[in-house]
Amino acid sequence: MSAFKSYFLVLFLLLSGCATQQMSGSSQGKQSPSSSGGMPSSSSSGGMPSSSSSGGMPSSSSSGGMPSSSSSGGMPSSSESTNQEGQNGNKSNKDENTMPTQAGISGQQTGQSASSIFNESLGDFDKEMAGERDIIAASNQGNSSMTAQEIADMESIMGADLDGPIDISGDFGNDESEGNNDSEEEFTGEMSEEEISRLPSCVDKDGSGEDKIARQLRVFAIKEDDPNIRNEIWKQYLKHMGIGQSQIEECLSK
Amino acid sequence: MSIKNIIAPTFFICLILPLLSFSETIKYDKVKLKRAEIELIEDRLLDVGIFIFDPNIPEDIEDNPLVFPEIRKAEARYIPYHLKNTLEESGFWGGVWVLPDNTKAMDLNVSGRIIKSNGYDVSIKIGVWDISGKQWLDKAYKARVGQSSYSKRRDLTQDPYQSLFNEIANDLQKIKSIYLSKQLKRISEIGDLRFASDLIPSVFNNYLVQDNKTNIYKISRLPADDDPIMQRIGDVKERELLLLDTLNEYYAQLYREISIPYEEWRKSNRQNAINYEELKRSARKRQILGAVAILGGIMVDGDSNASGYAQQGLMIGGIQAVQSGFAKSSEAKIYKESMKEGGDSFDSEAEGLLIEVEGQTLRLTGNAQEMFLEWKRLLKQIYTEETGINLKEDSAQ
Repeated sequence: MSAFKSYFLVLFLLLSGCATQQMSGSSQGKQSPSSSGGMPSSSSSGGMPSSSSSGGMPSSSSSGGMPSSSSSGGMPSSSESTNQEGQNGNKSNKDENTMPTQAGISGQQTGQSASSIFNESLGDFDKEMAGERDIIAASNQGNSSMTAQEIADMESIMGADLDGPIDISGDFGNDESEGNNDSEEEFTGEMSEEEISRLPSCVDKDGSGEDKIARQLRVFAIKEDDPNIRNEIWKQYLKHMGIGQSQIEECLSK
Repeated sequence: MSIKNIIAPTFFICLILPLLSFSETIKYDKVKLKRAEIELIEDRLLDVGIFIFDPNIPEDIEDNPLVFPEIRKAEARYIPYHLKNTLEESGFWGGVWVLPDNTKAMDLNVSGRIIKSNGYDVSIKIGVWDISGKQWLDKAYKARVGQSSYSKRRDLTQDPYQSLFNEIANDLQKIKSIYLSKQLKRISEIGDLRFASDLIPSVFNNYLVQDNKTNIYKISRLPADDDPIMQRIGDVKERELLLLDTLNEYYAQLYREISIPYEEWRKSNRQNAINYEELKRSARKRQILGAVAILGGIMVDGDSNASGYAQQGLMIGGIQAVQSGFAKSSEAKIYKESMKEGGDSFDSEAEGLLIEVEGQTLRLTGNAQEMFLEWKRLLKQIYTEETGINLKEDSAQ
């Protein structure tokens, strides 16, 4: 009887061992594709690379003399790009930061001539660059760093006997609230309905916790009519506010 | 008194005199920038691209404690940007851009390598080529920077290393002045064709011939002035310049943000470097002097009281000189440490700024890369549509 019991016990242990092994095997099977990084990460393509190259120049490219894309840029390779012609490739997971080559592809699908697609893409590129420069201008205005010459000029102005405050914030500050020279003061200007509708869900209406750069980025974004450029400025704003890449994308996709 | 007694002190005096009489007179060069007195005609205006410099960071950084990698990397961007400003200020050039990478859109390319930069001594190697492949310049520039170069009362648009920048700009202008306008125009035409050849090699490769020995490009034929595909290529070139303009805005930001802390670092590092070098020199002198005095003491031979006193005096004096040499050497180490501390502090400050600008550069160039590939494809398609000629697979020249 005891031998019989032992037999059952061994059988039970063997069976439960197999089951455990099977379970762990299946869980590994699920984990492995995701851990291998098989899923394209949308944040990697458009987001700012977290670290820079070691100061060396990017490798030279053969395409029109333009710098080659690096892994941190996360851009598709040239073959990937050229193979997209005539395909119904799903590019929905592509970052908005990417310059709009989709115009060309969709144009071909709708029967546009190569020449008109070309001209259209030039215009898109110009807009993209203009947006980029708006962002730079905004951060320059918000940036307190001045060249030695500018500081010397400032010192000489401040040293002079002038009545009243000196406005160094430029036109931008005046747009928001007249006579407001305090860079740390929060955004308090009243917004129209349309302007409120341009605020992403995760951005506070009252602009609490903003510094000067953030405040100026907010104003630029609200005033921007082009939704792509506006989105880009909001991205910079949220990044500046220390919000993580995934949260930024979640916020802007709403 | 024996002859030996005369020779020994004479030998000793001969040895120490040059050491004692050594005094250094430093002359700080002031090179003025040559400026164009009249506006130049378009044919004489070449577009200049200045690559980000080679920071020349030694591999054995542990053995070079006074080379700060992040400062060097920041300088590798700051110096080209200031050179750009200097060239623009001279009025002898067309557009001037700082380049992150190779491009065919420039008529003249400038590359540089930082050999030394400590606020006191600066040395930079410069190479310049035009787009035809001809070398204009290959020269090492050196300057010693005076205290007045850091004065707050100076013209603050002038960098403390301004003489060096002016010298480079003046040399480039001097070389350009040798060229006739039609030769300069030809360089620009070669540039246009090399750019075109990069976009549609199978069409434009035949317009250029490269010399087998010199590797210099020459034009074999020119496209028509109203060639529609060349006009479109011109549109793409304009976009490349637009991209460079935008990238240069980021470099300008870095330049602005770094200019004051960088100048402060150079100023304090200069003083420490001078003190360090001076103390090191003084220590060396004292140690040699002491050694010679001890040697002289040993060589003094004689039974007289005088020679005995001389021997004793030389030995004691020599030992004291060697000791004070060691003391000076330790003092020099304090300045070395001070330089290291100041460098480390600015080094970490520069690192943050560099990460930002590098990130933006990679993002922009990475995105633009895709756009340019698309234009390349579209241009080929347009060419086929307009001429009916099917293009073969291209290989860039």
